[in-house]
Amino acid sequence: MIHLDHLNYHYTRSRPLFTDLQLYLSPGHIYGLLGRNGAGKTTLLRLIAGLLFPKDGICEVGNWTPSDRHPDFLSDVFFMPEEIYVPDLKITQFLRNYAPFYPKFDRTQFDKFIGTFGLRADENMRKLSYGQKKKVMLGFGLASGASVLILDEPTNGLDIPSKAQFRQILSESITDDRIIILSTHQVRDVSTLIERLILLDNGKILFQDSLLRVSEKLAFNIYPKEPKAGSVYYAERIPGGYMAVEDRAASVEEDTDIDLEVLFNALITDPGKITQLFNVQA
Amino acid sequence: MYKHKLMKNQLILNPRRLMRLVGNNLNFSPKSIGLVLLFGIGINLGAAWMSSMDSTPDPEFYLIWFGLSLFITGFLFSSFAFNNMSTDAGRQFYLSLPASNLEKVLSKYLLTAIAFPLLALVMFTIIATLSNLFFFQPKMIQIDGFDPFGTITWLLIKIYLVLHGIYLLGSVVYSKLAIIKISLATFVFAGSIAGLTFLFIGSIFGFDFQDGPPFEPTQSFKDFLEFRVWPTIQFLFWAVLPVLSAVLVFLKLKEKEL
Repeated sequence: MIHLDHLNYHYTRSRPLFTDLQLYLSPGHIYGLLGRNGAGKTTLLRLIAGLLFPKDGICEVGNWTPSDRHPDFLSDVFFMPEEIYVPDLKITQFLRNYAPFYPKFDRTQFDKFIGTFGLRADENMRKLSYGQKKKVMLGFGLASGASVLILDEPTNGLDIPSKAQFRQILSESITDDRIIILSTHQVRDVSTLIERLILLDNGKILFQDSLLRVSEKLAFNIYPKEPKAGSVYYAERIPGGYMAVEDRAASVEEDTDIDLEVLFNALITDPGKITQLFNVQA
Repeated sequence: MYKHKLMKNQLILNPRRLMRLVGNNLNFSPKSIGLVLLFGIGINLGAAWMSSMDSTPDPEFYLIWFGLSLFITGFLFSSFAFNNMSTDAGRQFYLSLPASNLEKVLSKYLLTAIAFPLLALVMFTIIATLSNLFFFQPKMIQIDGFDPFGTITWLLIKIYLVLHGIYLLGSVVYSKLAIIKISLATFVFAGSIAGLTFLFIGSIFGFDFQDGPPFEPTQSFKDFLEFRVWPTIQFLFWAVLPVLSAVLVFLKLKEKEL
């Protein structure tokens, strides 16, 4: 469980980033954290990981206060940032040196992940490409047995086959007691993974709900011409027509695939109507 | 209550985790550690060879070079102790490593305060033996040997142990050029304290070194210096300074954010 209550954070006093931020994340789900540049996504992830300290309010992860950086907390939360650091070691040495810090580390699982990603354990981590380093750290994080996995832009640097492998590995890794948070701008890479969506804008949670509910409430239809307002909340031009987000009750098509990018744009452009539909305060 | 819990979490000490941290610190840059060692041995052997060219070398040659090596290399080593936190990614990696704050600080102290001086002693014993054998004895030059258990050797180590804490602190506080920044800061701070102490004593005893008549200390002034000032300075240097720097290293690391 991750619980943020009346959390305040700022880098400079004159520009508060989070004011009275409220968030509750329950185990067993993959959360997608979306937001514009500078919305505070990475800051939020760092607060949850105990790498930044709230100025005020509550931030709890399980029974831990992240800013304490208790060793048991640190071994139960794995944060893979966008820019990753790897020591000048071979993968096997890295494992020998760092896996013992994670009591639930599963070597067999790690070897499986590394094998899936086509990496050799005797390779020096510093000599790997950016994407390969990410794969090693991702495999390490998943095998660490951490209950909370925080991945900031996890698909950046991954080639096309690796993205599919990443999705497969991650979907297999979610368990009832694990929370996975993905923060990304590459929504198409993770759209099939995300179960619950959190949209952060200007330091506030603009929208938070499950994609199951989104599919129950909204439809994503393509129109050859710009659709008229009414049940359409938002429409954007795409090659060959318009992609519209509309009330599913009024939609001609019943089952449509969720387009996260369009949903994101719809929520950013005019959050009022959609959040009202979900009975969430904007 | 919350503060108490916070502090308790910081003071966790697991010996196995601590030793693993020490091991990992050594593993971080084996090449650079090896290079520093080779450089240290090379410089000292070179200095011994140069000195052997002189018919009357300084009899305390080894002590001088031991002091220089201990301080220069040791302060450099200490100022790089937390160098893995010099980038955002490195800092994130180190701060996220599942070990307590105490374990992280102690692991650095074990390396800089125990392993390094021991290594320096061993290295210098070897260097002195080699130098005597190859540079001084063939030329029949008499020179004091290096005594790793000598009084001055241990005084130098004690001074190193006190001062290296300041460089460790600099390593936590500064991301880049820690050794230069902390040396300058220490120089300015120590200079200011000395200046202020001088002015303070002058104001108590009513003397002025620059413009006044020649200063002839009275017995009470001599007693004041001997029984008050000197013991206080010794206490501040040998006891307060190392404890204060260790506490500050601990607190600075605890407060470190990305």
